[in-house]
Amino acid sequence: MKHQLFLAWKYLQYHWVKTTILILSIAFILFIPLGLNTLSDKGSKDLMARAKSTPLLIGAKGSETELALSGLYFKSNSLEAIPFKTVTEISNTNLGEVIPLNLEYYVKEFPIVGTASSYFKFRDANFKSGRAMAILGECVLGSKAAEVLGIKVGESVISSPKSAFDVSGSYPLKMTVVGILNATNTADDEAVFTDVKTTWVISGFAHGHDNVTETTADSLLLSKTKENAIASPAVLTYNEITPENISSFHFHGNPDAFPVQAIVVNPNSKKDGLILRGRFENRTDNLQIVVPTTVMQELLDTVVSVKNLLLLAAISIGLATLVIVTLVFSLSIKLRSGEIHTMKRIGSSKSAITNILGLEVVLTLALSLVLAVVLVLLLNVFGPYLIKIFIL
Amino acid sequence: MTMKKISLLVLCLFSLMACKNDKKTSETEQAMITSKKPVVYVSNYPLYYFAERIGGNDVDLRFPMQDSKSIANWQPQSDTVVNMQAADVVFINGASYEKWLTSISLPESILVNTTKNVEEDLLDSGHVFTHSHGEGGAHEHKEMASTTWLDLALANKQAEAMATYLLSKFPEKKAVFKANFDKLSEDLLELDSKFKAVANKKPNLSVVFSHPVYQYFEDAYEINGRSLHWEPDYQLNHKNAHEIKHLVADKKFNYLIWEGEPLEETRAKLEKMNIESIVVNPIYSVPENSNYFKEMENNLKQLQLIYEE
Repeated sequence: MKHQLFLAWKYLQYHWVKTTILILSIAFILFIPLGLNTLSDKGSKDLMARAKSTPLLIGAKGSETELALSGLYFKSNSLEAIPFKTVTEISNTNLGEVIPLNLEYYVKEFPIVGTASSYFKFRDANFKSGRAMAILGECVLGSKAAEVLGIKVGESVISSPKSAFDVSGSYPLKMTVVGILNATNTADDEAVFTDVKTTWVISGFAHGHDNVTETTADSLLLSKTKENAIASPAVLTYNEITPENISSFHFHGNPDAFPVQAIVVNPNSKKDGLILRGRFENRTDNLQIVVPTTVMQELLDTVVSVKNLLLLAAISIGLATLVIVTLVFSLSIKLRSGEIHTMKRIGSSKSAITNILGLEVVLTLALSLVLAVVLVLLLNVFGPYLIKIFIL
Repeated sequence: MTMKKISLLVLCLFSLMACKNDKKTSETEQAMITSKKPVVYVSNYPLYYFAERIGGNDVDLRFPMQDSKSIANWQPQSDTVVNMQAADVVFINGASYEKWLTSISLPESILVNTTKNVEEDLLDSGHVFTHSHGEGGAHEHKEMASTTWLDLALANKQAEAMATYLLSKFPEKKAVFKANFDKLSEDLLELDSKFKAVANKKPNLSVVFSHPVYQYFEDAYEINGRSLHWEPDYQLNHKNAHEIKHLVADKKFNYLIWEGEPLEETRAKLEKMNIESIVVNPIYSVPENSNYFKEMENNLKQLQLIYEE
């Protein structure tokens, strides 16, 4: 048997091109249904875990899926803002913990999440180093953001403009990193957390500058009376909040109207959650409340339908490939009639020849299976990344 | 030593360690349970007094700005804010009092604005300044008057807001908190009625306040007054004397109400101008050997000097 295995292996080695093509074809046919299943299971598990840990989300009326994905994964390129007074209003109902999310800005590719310090407790996030943000202009980095940006506690990050053409909108703000979170394998790893008020400084709703009544040069004042001073736009606003200038920071306008993109609500009880949802049913303003698990389940149901279709296609292609592979082997035996005849003439028994040919098939199938399993394992590792790219 | 004996020895050691750990854990848990009092932060002295009266020994009361020279201009350090973030509740006065609130990160869920339910009763400080960057969109920095606690009816509502929150969050201590609040409320309202009765005796009397911090006091007890911008340690110079002469001619008043004891020299000079100085403490900071209630009683006595003369 050992010699027969040796001969079969040598034959496959000699015809490596044909063997490789066969192995790849069979491996991919095995991999597609197995991989799809793995990816779908892994994706479902991760998506549902994040959704389950976020009981309710409030945002502007529109796509529920977009609100859920934005609230859970901090993607909000087109999510309409709602006024901050909604946060206060829901907080005053005492039905649960209310956490605002402002999702307008980035530090390079990492989203800035303008929130409250209670977010970390809510997510059960632990600090690898440092602490939660306490003062305006401080921020906390997710583990991956800190690693990629190469930033440690005590160093700074700068917010990026909304877009290359955002020349008059947001103000790049230098924020001091006061904490780095432990890795959680969630979207939190890639976020830059700061207080919601700090994101309003970036927006320009709040800013700090020299006292226009006392220290600003007259050349920078267009007019000045006892009750009013009109400063020239040339009066520079601070782009970093320091202990020296923090007292000069002030809001322009009513903070109740300042933007947040989503609000996480963690109700005190199931009953309180239902009461809150009931209240939103009757609202006529531009607000909606969603249950992330329901939204994500709907999204996953769609994914499962697509997966089933793909599985059906994969099984059909698999059967066709099996027929082709059978044809390839039978044609191969026919083409190798001279070789088989030689083996007989040098004394090889019929069963030995059958064994050699059979082992060639078994080896090809075994190698295909190994390759398919390796691919599935790789998918298991890189699956979340692929889901992030293709689904989120 | 046989294998069996070694195994038994290892098993015994593990059992002992497990027992020791269990004991340690239960001791820690017990300590946590016994020391678990609601952590309550307050942002000014009157709120501290109310919280102390309502919560008594059943709350872990903290007043971080207690030692600040100027509580109204207090700026918290990050360590203090981190501790506040872990609190069960932070009671704030509202009415533009906590200027530091814009520059720190505190979750909305633990912040309780004690004047939230009396917003319609809040008064302007009379201090409005606007500025704009360029010709368009002036930004108004309008401030509310902050000394709400000088109106005892408003103070009672602030205490009520605190009690309501504590009762809803810590129902296990409901009986104690409720009884304490009822007593506090009774004291505050009784003193309030005494203030009202005093001021009613001379409804046309005019006074002058040394500083514009008595808006609620004036409004609640119908005291006709006008405010200067004088500090108790001001020397009465020629300019001040001129200002006060004009006011006397205009308003016909004989009493100047100070935030703190004025300089003896100033008091004497004013007396020569037939103006008597009295002190009504706005109770910004912790009074020495006294408390909010006693200080308000003293304030009442000072008013009685004017109105029951």
